[in-house]
Amino acid sequence: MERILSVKDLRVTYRTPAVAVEAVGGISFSLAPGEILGLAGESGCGKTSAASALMRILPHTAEIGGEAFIGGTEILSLPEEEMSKIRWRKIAMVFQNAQAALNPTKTIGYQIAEPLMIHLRYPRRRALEEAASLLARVRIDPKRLTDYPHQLSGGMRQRAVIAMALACRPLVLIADEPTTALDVMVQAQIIELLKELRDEYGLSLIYISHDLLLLAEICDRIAVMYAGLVVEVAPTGGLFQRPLHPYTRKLLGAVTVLGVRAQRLETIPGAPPRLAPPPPGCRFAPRCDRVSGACREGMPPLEPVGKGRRVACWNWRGEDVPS
Amino acid sequence: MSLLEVRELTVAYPVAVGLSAFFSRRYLVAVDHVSFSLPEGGTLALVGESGCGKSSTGLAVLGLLEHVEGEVLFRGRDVLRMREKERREFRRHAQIVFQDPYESLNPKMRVRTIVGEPLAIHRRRGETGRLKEALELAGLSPPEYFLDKYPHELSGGERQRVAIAAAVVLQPKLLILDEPVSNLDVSIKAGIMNLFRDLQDQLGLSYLFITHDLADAFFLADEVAVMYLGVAVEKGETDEVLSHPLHPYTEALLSVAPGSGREKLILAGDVPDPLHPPPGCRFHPRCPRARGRCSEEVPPEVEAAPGHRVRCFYVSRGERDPHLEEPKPIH
Repeated sequence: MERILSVKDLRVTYRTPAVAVEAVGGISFSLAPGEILGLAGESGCGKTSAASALMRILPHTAEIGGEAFIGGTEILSLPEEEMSKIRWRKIAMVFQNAQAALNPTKTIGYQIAEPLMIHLRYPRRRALEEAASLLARVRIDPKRLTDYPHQLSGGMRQRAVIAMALACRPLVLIADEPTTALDVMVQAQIIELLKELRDEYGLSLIYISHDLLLLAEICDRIAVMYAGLVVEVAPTGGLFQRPLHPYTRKLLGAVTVLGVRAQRLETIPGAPPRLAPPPPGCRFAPRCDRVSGACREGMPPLEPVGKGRRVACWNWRGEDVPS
Repeated sequence: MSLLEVRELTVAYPVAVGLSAFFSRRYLVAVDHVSFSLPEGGTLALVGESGCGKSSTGLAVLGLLEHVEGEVLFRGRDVLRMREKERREFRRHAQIVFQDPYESLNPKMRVRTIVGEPLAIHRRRGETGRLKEALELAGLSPPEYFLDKYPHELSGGERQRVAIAAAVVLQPKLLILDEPVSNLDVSIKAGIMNLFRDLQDQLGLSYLFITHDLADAFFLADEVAVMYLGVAVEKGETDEVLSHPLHPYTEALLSVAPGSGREKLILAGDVPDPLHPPPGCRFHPRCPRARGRCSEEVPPEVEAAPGHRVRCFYVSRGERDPHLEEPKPIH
């Protein structure tokens, strides 16, 4: 099958003179054209580090390993001047804090036009015209081209940032918790917008969130991360009907769901392991209710188990097996 | 009997905009004639988006705000009109847990001091037994391990448990929970939500649970009040309101909650500026059901079903009223 992005054994290690923290411990996934892949996990699981590594926007203390191909080009080893031709033009990213992603001293219009002038060498006037149509596309009145970020609401700022990211028509858009700071109604607006953009431009999306129910609304497939590794990948429906990894099961049991009267929520005792360096064996073993001898010896690989699913667990079969 | 009875509560904040600050005082009305009651041992959730007035309501109930009108009756006595001595006694019975345990705990204090402070203020110093008991109740066990820690030595979940221990150490009757789990990871949040259940069972606490998350309200609350721009637009038993929403705002809010399984009713635009709220029903500019009357008159609160109150002229009753036009397209 055609792949727009394929990531192989991606590693991110943050080095200081004293320690080396392996934030991402070797993850692989791929993205089909027009696909929305969710990256789920709790704080510190490495989801943002992995995304930032693909954009090559990590600080110098971060060491990146593995390979990532966009349209045949391996981007993790590209020199910076080559990467700057790919960043925003082939792969773009939207962040949680739209306020911080915008320059408070420049108008919205200028900031959307800027990538067009820099990367595609549009003359100023044409770039501003294009910015106006991009603004309209994300449903902001083009009259607001001359507004400054502080004049927009939180939801509009995030739309403006999406317009900036889309200016150069990238193939892949990474959305890193883009609605976490927003109200639910605005969140729903943004989700709908992203889906439309996918349908219209065939954009491929990596959507990062800690909120599994939200991911269920937008993603075709979901990859669940824990302690720097992907522990389970599955089509969205299958993941919710039959989570296979013990961590995914626990996580789904911990969520409050409308209309489901739970007496108690699942909790996961303990805390994720320190990753400097990561412990041997399965990283979830100390908190797992299905732990066995094999779990303490080696990290189980992420292996295909049928129906487009992969899981990294020695004991995933447990009581139920996907039919 | 109700532990807490709030009647026509109105909260305003003075705002100074340019020269107007010198000439006339303007007020932003954050909470507009909100009424509700909370039975002993019960939980009421105040639900709504940012700026709807839910937190202001919580603070006003504790008597922490100025420019408040209406009545806040705690066991029949009006908190807003209490004298100092009585108010002090009330404060012993009513405590609050805030959203962010990274900011609500003093970083220079040890757990011992943070949780002991309410005891000291209410002249119950030296009751280490109480202190340990509170930590134990909040799930911080063994308490000795935590007593001499500073907040930075604890995880987010542990910090929130410290805040909860400090809130229950005086054996209060009422806890205001102001978005207490919104900054926590899923697995940690679940533990805190379970803890609230347990504490209620053990101590008979009443909760005023302030949240933007309908699913959390559904988990914890017996009753719910949905707020929009300072107005409680719909109130009733949680199951009833969430399964048969009557107000168009509640319907929309419910439909966009992830995992609701409902058809999405996405409202366009943003909540209007609270300094210039729309006339009539405050929701009318975004309402798919709005008609002429809605922009002129404020809809009164009506009891549409037993215990289920709503402020809307055109209440939905599960199915669409055939006399109404089709709802406007959302965008």
